[in-house]
Parts: sequence; structure tokens; C-alpha cells
Amino acid sequence: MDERTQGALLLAVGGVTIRLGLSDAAFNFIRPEYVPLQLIAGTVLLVLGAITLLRGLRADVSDVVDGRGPDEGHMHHDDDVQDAVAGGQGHAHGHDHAQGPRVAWMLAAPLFAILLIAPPPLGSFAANRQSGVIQSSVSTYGPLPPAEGDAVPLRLGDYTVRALYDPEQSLEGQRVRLTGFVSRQEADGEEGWLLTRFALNCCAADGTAINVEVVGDQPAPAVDQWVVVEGTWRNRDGHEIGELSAEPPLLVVESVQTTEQPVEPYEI
Amino acid sequence: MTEDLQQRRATGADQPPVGAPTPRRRLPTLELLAIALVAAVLLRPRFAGLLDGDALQTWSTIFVSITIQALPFLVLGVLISGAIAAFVPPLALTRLLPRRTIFAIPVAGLAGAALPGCECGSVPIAGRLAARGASPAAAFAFMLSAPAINPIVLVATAVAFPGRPDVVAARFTASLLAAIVVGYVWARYGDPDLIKDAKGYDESATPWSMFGQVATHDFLHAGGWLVLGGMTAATLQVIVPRSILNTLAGNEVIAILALAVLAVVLAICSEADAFVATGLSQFSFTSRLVFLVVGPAVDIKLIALQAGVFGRRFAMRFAPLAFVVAVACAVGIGLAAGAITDNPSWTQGVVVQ
Repeated sequence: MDERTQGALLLAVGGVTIRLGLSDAAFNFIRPEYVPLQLIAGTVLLVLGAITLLRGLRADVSDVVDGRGPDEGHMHHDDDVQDAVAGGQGHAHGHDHAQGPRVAWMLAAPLFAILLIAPPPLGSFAANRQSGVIQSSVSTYGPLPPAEGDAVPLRLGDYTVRALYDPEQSLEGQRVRLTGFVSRQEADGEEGWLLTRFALNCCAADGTAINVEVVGDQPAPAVDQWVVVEGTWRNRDGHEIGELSAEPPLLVVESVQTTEQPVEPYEI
Repeated sequence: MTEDLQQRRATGADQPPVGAPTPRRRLPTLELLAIALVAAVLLRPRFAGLLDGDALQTWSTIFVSITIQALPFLVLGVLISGAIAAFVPPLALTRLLPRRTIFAIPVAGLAGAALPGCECGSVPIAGRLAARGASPAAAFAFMLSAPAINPIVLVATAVAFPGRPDVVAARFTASLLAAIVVGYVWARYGDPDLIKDAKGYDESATPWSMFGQVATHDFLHAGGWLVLGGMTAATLQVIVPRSILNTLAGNEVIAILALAVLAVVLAICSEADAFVATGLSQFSFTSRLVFLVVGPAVDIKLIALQAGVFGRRFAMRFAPLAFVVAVACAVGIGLAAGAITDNPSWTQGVVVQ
């Protein structure tokens, strides 16, 4: 690719990055605290792209001035680089500098993905490809957060470790409110449907699905529908509190409300 | 080349002869790219139905997130490697190295920690060092360590694996160890004749111009490979059947070999490879450490670069050496880390049921 195209590609990547960073869609991919870095990186790319594009356009102009055709001659985009190459076969890249690396075309792929597909946050498809085993990561659980209305709002990550591993059973008798999406309507021959939310460590690439099995007489909502569920905890038969479980914890549902996907779909 | 071109311009010999067929036009790539982007934005509603498949969307989410997350680190890396290529005189490095090879090698290895940048930069710098009389073994130790243990890479690794300082420490230790071992092996067994014609970067370009060009070129190169790496991780997550994934990730020896080969085939920049590794979540940390240590040491891009700077015969010997040493060091450090931290994630993959 010639220098003008290199510059345009950089401008496009920078522009899409900034636009993504300024919109809510960024939260589908990365943690909110990294969005400022995106904006800075996008700005740098815009600057580099503009410089490269201008250099490419000037080279074209000098081609015209020197009477060369649009694609003849001028194998190098800049006299400086010409000298550099003449001086000692310096650039050890093994390809013509003015052509630009061909692999750079791959950078167009995320642009088109963002523009055409507008990838959504991880949903039921990704959740069902995971094993869903939740491991206990804390040894003390602390007090429950204060109730809002008549239920305690909890993150799914918080609910699941308390439900499976808390020796003091802090969830006993508490009405809790959980927000997530439906990942499966029938959980493998068991009673309920799966309420899921993804937890991110780094970014969407390492998202871990956290599941809660919702049981009760409320009908299962549609798959991938976001819901707010209120209910109480019930221990699964045969599960010893504190032991590693391959199955998600239970929630006996009392009310289900459909809702919009939250702006920040992942739990951090 | 410059004189020749000037001569040809003076005599008019650089114009195609009258009556000869006009030169074939290159594809108007800029115009095609612009049209494609505008079309994508405008035609998006038409495409909405076609591109709604769950697998495609999930795949896109994963590979876009890897690319986006790594982008700032890549940008910082190419800015600094461009600055180093343009503004830092290589002589400064040679003066700092001890005279005796046996001490120069570890010092050169550690010096890599101070020079952030992609592997694209370290090969020409090593070439310059060797061309100016630095001990080749020390130059190679530097060439291997600089892309792998510099601050940007370590920060990126910490961001990619939050709450796992053991992973960052293991990467630093294993890469430094591999660089030093390769240096010593080359000092002992290497053929000095193989690098007689080491070529370095020429410095006659104006510094700021060189800075901009190196940064642009490195970003385009690294960015392209990053996208390929992200696509590979996404494909493993979404498309590869679970039975194959179980075989790959469930068996430690296969996992290590698979990720070592993947690291060679995917020439991902070291600032970004941690984010691809984070997408390989079924694999044990030892196998992922192998991926992180082998990548900056030997991959298809590096082999091409080294062949260009040091010659093909050199590259044919150096690449396998670096590969074997990198794998061995990563496996050793990974097992040690697993033993020290008593964390099973070092030796066990999380296999998808």
C-alpha cells in the first residue's frame, strides 16, 4: 500500500477508536477505566495518519512536477529514505518501504466489524461454551449491602460465592435482587433457567460467565433477554456449603422484570 | 542508487521509451478503502440481517476487544521505538557494556529492560551494535531481552492478567533467562563468520522524519499482526469444536507445543501478545507463558528480519536455538511458579465441558 493509503488507514483506525471511546459501545469490549487511554491512542493515530497522508500527497505532487506518471518511478516516498537506503541497505525489512507492510490490511477488519456488525456484549452463545464453574475467591464475606426497596441488590459474582461457599450463610432469609440476562431456558434437565452475567478480568476476551439457576413458578423469559430478578436463596440438595460445586447456585424467584441491557453489561 | 537515479533523470532515461506500453497501474487502494468504509457505514441497515449470527457476533466481540484493549500499548510502544531508532545513538550502548563477554551478556540482557519497543526495533539495533564491534553474543542477548522485558510489555502483561503479579514476574524471569542462555550458547558455539556483514540502520535520514516513519511503519505492521492474533484467539474461543479444544488445552504437553508453535506463526508484537494470551483462557498459565516468551524471541517476522540484518545462514541457526531455549526456560519458570505460588492454574488448563 502506498503512503497515502497508509495514512488513510491510520486515520480510519484512529477515528473509529475515538468514536468508539466516546460512545457506550466501548463498554462492550473493555473496562470503563481504560476508555481514556483509547481516546489518547486514537488521537496519536490521527496525528500520525495525517502526517503520513500529507507526505504521500506531497510525493504525488512532486511526481507531477517532475513529469512522472501517477504510478511510475518514485519507488521511495521521500528523499530522506532514498538516502537511507542508498547509504547502506539499511532497512532490514526485506520489502519496499513505499509499499508498506501488507499485513497492515488486517487493521481494516476491526473497523468493518465495528461499523457493520457492531458486536454486542458477550451473551448466551459465549456463556454456553463455558463450563460455568465458580470458584471461591474470598475467605471473608463481609456484611451484605443495604437494601434498596425491599430487596438487597447484589452482583452475580457476589451472590454466587456467598451462595456456594459462605459458611455463615449471609443470604439466609434475605430477599435479593439480581440483574443479568437469560442464557439458557432449561438447564440440562434441571428445574430452572440460567441467569447469567459476565465478569471481566482484562477485557471481553477473557470474560467468565457467572450463572445462577432460577427456579420457581415464573415462566422463563426469552434467551438473551435482560431481566431483574428478585427472590431468595435456597441451597441445592446435596451441596455442602464451602465445597467446590460444578453446578450454579439456586435462586427461588419471586418476581421477574424484563429490562434494557445496562450501559455497562459486564461485572468487573 | 541515488546517483544512478539522478543520472537517469538528467538524461531523461527514467521516462518510459516512446511507444512502449504504459506501465501497469497499481490498484487504487486508497480509493477502494475509502469507498469500502463509506459503503459499510451507509449500507449497515441492509446488512443487519446477514450478520446477526451468534457465533459471528461473539467472535467479533472477542477479537475486537483484544485489538482495542491492546491498542494504546501498541501506540506507546511504536512511539518509543521510533524515538529510539531516531534519537538514541547506538554507541551509547556499546560503551556501557563490560569488556569481557562473560559479563557483557547478562548486562546486555538486563539493558533490554530499559528499551521499550517492538521486536522490529531490536533487530536493527543489535545489528548496529554488532557492526560497531560489540560482542555478538551480548548483542543477541539484548536483541532477545529488549522486546520481552521492557516496561511497556510488563505493564501490558499486568493489565492483561490483573491480580496475577506472578505472571508478570514469571514472564520477566523466563525471558531474561532465555536471552542470557542464548547469549552464552552463542558465545560458546556460535560461528562469528556468520555475522560478518551485519547491517545496521542508516542514520542519514533526519531524526524527526525517521521517527515518524518508523512509528507509522511499526504500528501498521504490529497492528496487522495483532488483529490476526486476536482473530486466532476468537476462533479458538468460538469456532474450534470443544473436543479439539479439550485435546489441546487439557493435555499439558500438547498445550505447550501448540502455543509455542502458535507464537511462532503469529508474529504479534510483545506489547500486545499478553492480550491475545488472555483470550486463550482454556490454557494453563505455563503454556501461556511459553506463548509469551517464545513470541518475542522467534516468530516468522523476526526470522525474516534477522535474515535481512544478519544473513540467512545465521537466521537458520539462530531461530531454532532461540525457540528451544525459550520453550525450556518458560516451562522451567512456569513449573517453578506453580510450585512457589501453589496455584494449580499454572499447570492445569480449564477445559470447556
